[in-house]
Amino acid sequence: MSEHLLSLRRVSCRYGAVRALTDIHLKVDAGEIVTLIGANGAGKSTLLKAIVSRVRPDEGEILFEGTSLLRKATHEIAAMGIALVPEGRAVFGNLTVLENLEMGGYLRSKSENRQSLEHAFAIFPRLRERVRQAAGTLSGGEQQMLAIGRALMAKPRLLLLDEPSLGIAPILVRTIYEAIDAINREGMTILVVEQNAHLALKHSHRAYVLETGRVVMEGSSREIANDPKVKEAYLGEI
Amino acid sequence: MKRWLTLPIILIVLGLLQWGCTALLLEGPIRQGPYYYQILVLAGINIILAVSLNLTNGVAGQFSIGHAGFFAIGAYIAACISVYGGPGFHAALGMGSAQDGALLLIAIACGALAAALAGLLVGIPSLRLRGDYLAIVTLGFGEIIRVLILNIDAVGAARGFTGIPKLSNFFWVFAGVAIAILVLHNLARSGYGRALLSIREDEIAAQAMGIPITRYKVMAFVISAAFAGLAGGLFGHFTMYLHTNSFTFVKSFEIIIMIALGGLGSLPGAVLGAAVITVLPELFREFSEYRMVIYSLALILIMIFRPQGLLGRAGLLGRGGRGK
Repeated sequence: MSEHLLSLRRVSCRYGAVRALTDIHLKVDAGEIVTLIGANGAGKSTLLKAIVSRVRPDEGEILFEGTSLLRKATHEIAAMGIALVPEGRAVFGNLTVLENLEMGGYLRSKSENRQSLEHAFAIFPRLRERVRQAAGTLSGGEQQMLAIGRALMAKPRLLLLDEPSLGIAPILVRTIYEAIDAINREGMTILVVEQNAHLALKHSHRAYVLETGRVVMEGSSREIANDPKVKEAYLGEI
Repeated sequence: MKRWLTLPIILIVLGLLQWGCTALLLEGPIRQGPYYYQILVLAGINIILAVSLNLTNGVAGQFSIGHAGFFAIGAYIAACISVYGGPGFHAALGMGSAQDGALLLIAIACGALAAALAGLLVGIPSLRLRGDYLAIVTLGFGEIIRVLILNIDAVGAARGFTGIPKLSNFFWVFAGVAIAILVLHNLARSGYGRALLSIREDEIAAQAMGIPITRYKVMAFVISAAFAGLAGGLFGHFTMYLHTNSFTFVKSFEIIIMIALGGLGSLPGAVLGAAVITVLPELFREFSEYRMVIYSLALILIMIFRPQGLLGRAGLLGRGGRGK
């Protein structure tokens, strides 16, 4: 049995002949924000996909609260308490903001959803203003808020965020990361994949650096941010 | 607040419609001859086909092009029940309009059930596929059914199935339309319908929210097939003769054109599209050779000038809060 909320042991994935992940060890403890940084194609998104069973690892073990996720379907993993905010936000463009949020609470009762809705509006007041608007008409940043709010509606115990800063105006990126911190302070465990290493290291407790499918470095975010090699490769400082 | 009003409003509108149509029928088409009466009934059957296909193609966003196959299964199974079981049924219970109605109901129920079963069998493997692949599988299925029927002597094979009692009429078709619209409207508005919409919008996000997408898609497919079967039962018992020519892939495309014309995902759109597509060829009777040309042209023009269809995504009571 594992005392970690989520742990990956010796996980390897491949797309046909191409190895996407090799021998990944990773753990996330309750209450943490853990970030996964790395360049394009390092395997960050594949790792999240493996957790929610959208990609099947051909080796290794993935445990959530001690239960293996390997043979589970994506919707079953959602029911176990893992919510994914997919890359590119993936809001339901033709549904309204409210309908999107209600779909997020698909697995929850109506009374729970009423509370969660207020909670989501408290974190992202912008959503309340746009509640009757079609999600497709929101700006990129607002869609990201909606996607996170929708994931929170499921009341997960682990929140997975795939590139939350991707294609979003810088000013809204800050708002979103402040919201991520706020959600974490309420006790939510978060695993965030991010290309913007500077931002991700500032808003996390621990970090993993991924390079061509391998973990090349791990440690507290402060340590990693101060590491000369990371500074050179990812933070643009010399 | 508005939602609870939906059902009574629909019932009242349908009631008025039936009253109006019955009056019209007694005064109008029947006196004008069976031609208009027949168009009215065929429009009703097409409406059932269109609103049922709208559930899979419009609401759930799964592109199926084999609806005529389910229509055929419903028609032939229902006809078999009344042709082969009818004499025994009447011998046991006697003749009369009540008995005729009961026989029709049993026949239609069997037809719809058989179509639903076929939907389940086709749906489980094929709904794991996406887009083009699903379209190809359903197209193939429709043709397989047609060729199969063409080779079964008990249902007339290539001669066509004759001797089907005339049990269906405007009243039954109208009831079928009403039931189909009521059921599918409420379904689309329920949590289940909302889940189907989210599958159409983004399958990955829908799954990440805990929606078992394959099971939901199969359910939509089965319900849609059942109503196509119901339409088939009504059709066979109205025309009293079935031939596989009525169930070619051209019929499947015709139904798709109906819902695309009205607006994919819109229930009133499907009704309007079905009515237009039934009546238009009648208006252009003398050019009937060019019907397919007109269909294709109509589709192309709609795609260019109104890609969202005539009624867009409008629900029964306006836009239902759904933008764009």
